[in-house]
Amino acid sequence: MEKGTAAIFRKKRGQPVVRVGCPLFFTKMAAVPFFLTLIATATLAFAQDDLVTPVRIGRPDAPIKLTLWAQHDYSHLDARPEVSSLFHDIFEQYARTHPDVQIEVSVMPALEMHKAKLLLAAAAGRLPDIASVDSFWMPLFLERGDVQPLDPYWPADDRADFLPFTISTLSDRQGHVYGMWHGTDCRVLYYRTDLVPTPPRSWDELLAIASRISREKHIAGYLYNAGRWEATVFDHLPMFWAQGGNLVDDDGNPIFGLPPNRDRMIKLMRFLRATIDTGASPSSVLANNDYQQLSSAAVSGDVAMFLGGSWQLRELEFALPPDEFAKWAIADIPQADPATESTGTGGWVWVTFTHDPVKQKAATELLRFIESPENVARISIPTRQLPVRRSVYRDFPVFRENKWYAQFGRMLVHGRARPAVAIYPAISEQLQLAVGAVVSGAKSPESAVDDAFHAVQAIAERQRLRAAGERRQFDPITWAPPIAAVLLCAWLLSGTGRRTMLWLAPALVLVSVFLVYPVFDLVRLAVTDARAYDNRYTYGLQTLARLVADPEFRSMLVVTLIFVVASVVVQLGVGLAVALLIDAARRRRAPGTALARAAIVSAWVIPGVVVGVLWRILLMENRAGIANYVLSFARIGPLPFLSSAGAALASLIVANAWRGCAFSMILQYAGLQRIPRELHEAADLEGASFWQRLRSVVLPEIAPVLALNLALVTIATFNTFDLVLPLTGGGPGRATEVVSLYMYRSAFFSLESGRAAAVAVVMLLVNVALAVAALRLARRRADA
Amino acid sequence: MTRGRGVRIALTALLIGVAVAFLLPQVWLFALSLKTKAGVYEYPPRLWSNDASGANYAFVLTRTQLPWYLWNSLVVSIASTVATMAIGAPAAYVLSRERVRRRETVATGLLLAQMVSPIVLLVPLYGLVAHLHLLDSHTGLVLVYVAVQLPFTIVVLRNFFDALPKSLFEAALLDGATRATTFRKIALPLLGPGLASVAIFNLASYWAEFGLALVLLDSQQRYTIPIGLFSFQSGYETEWQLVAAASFIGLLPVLAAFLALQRFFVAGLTSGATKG
Repeated sequence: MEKGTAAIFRKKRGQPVVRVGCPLFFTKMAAVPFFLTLIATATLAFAQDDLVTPVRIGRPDAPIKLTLWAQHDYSHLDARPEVSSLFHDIFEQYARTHPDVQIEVSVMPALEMHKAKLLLAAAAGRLPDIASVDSFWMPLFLERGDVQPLDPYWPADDRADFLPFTISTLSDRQGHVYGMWHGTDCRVLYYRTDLVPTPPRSWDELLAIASRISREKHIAGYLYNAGRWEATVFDHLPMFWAQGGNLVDDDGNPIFGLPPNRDRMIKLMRFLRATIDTGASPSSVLANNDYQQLSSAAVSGDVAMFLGGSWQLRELEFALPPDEFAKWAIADIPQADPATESTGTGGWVWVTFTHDPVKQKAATELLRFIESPENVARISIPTRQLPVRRSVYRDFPVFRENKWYAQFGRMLVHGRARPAVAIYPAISEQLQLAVGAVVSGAKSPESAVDDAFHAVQAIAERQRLRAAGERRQFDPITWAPPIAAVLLCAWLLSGTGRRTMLWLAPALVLVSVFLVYPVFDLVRLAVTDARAYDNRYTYGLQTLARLVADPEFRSMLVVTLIFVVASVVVQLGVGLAVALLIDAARRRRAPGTALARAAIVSAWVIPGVVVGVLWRILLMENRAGIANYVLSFARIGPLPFLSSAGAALASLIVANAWRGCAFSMILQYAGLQRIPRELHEAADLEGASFWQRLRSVVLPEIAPVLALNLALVTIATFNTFDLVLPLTGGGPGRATEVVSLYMYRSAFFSLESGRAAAVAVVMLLVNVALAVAALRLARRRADA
Repeated sequence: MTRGRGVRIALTALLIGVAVAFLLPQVWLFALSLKTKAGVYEYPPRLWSNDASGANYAFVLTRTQLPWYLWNSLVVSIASTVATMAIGAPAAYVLSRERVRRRETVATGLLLAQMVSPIVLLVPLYGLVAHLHLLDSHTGLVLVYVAVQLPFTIVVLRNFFDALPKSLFEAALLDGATRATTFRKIALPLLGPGLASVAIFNLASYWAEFGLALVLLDSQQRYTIPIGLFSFQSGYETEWQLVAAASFIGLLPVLAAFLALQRFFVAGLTSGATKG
């Protein structure tokens, strides 16, 4: 065998042995970055005894230890140097003046996840001492009684400096204040004055201007958020509110699907559909799940108007050259009736969860330190938030004199916050789906609104029933799974010698505790309506019944089926093709087999998350996306790789097959090597064509390997979600929400453990069925 | 002969094409990680910019939590691998050599368990680890990890032990060696490469594991690389050059280890699958 080629795959003493003729220097070279990484890590992680590190503020030996869950963009870990150094500075000052306190910092990833993690932590009794939460999550935490009042350590005169709505929203009837608002914002229409001399006041004007610009300038006339996230709903609520619409009545019951609110919501949905129909907006708005995408479009000159947040002004100012920035202006959100005005105000709130008075005091002091007027004035500019302290607008010239702040200040007068009710997140989720369905044309405005309303009503009804239910103190059924696990293991090992048992014991204990017991417990949970942060639940098949009846669940199964079948076909096909190629090259002693094998397997060893991130980078739809650039040479595209439903699913399949190809290739290559040389020689003598050889020599010989491969790859693909989450996150809409992701989201975002368990039981059955099939195939192959 | 050479050249060209298709994404990631933010959005995109620098690497290694993620991954995957091998090897040995009445049932159960994804158990595992007060701790994660990889480890090692010649053990028995001595002095040394490939395969699996870590860890200073990178992606979404640098650091150790230890990787990859 020639040097530098990898080859055989034969059984030697029962173990598969692969000999790789990798040149020695290459091996050594490869080890160098590995060890460099390790050394760098170790030194960096432990050589920092600064007062402010990425995970700690203060001295590591300080007696009072506070845990803090902050916002990424409101901490010293922000990517923008002006924000990170500002917070670094503030925290360092704090650490100097408060030597007895150290703070353990966590910043939470995606917003949705931040909330879910907090709720799960609340259920497990392990909330951080301090957290920054979205103002509209407050009802959830107040309802549970987790949030502690700040007023004992927060003087009234300082509280009086905050805008009234920030205090009144967060107070109870006794006058306790439960949070410190840190910055607010509002929604506005951004427009380019060179393209749009007078901003549209009404929807009709907006559509007319935007569609004309799209036609004439070949850029997007109007962009907005329509992806699957909170802003898609919140940005558009002002358009509903200005019509007089209300989401909930005074008692917090959802009414947006009842007349007259239903007509107002339908009108809004019709407008959104019209943005696509008139050509005012591209359908890529469906992939907008980050305000940054709007700013990026503005910066690259691809849009004339967009519905954005007040903080984006700074982003534009920072990213655009001054003469380009001068073209941009802001206006009130266009409305159905141009005489009305409305905007949505949001914002984040510091809350404390600790019950320890010493920590409460220290925590409140920390918050007051961060939110002092001087710091608020400094923070508000780079973080692009609007201050909520009156003294800041009064005492700091920037806020007093700047024309933008003056304009925002005027808009805040018509500002309205989301209803502080526990049903709001469900309303938002359903309306996000409705907007997605209407904008993509999948549903009519009427049916989208009605479907959303019915779904919300069902959730509200369940919330009511649950609130009426009793808390479970003792549930004997929870003992069934552990007992079943113990009995099963006892049965399996009965009659085994005591010393043998000792050798097996650690493995046995771990497997029964962490694998066998959870399987039984999963089955138990699947027949409950349990929620993760609440121990009120009932047994019954209602969760399963609801799941089966849920059209979203069925469409998700279809998505999964397409994903699995297509991935498996592509992966097996490419795997076989490459295996044939390498086999042919090896038989003819052509160089390059080792390189090709190493390249393919290298794609397989990369962690799935990195594969997701990697492909997301390749498939970016703006000018930085290399895939679209390459396709442009073939005069294809630009393709909406991640923003249109079909293309996103196809992208996911390609990325997954790219990663998994190595596995199929290696198995099939091993199969090919078992084909007796004589068969190939006979085919050579007969002058068989490639296809003849494939059909009559290769396929019959490797059929068992292909079948085994099929079963194993199907299992792996069916459970994939490490790649999906960073690549598409299940979007756009739910177009790429495969079953594993659906289960994860149900359990850890929607916190419906019962529903998630029901889905997981289905997954488990599919897994076991496929595993049994694979086992049979492998055994048959071993016998053959 | 000339036809043979022509075919060989064509085959090599195809092989190189395949290699490029599978390496280009990683190369592009690396190229991006050296660019500035302006370079990322440069049009037409270029592989190498003149202002390429290591600034992004310096940033992610000093100004973000990435070093902690790396360290945590290192600790968790090494601890899990050591524990898995230490617990799995003796179990596999007795399952191979000693009288266990329902041995075949146990073996089949382990084989099936090895193929079922732990993802389906996320919900009950979360509840269990919460009950044990091990949420957000590396101990809890390692315990679950070990349990998850044990079936695979035991199945493969048991096959290796099965393949050792019986006469060796009979001879040891005649010499009066105890079970522990036979295991340590005879069985284990013979399995050197097999043990290594299983250990390396486990190590790589732990390094890449995402779902369990995502659910069982809360505090970022305890995050492992995969969930660290996921949170990094959301936190620095607009700074793709930083995401690229962090991702490249995340894949570098496995890629390097893979290139250095290719044969163990491939053996580990297939050993669970091809055995019956």
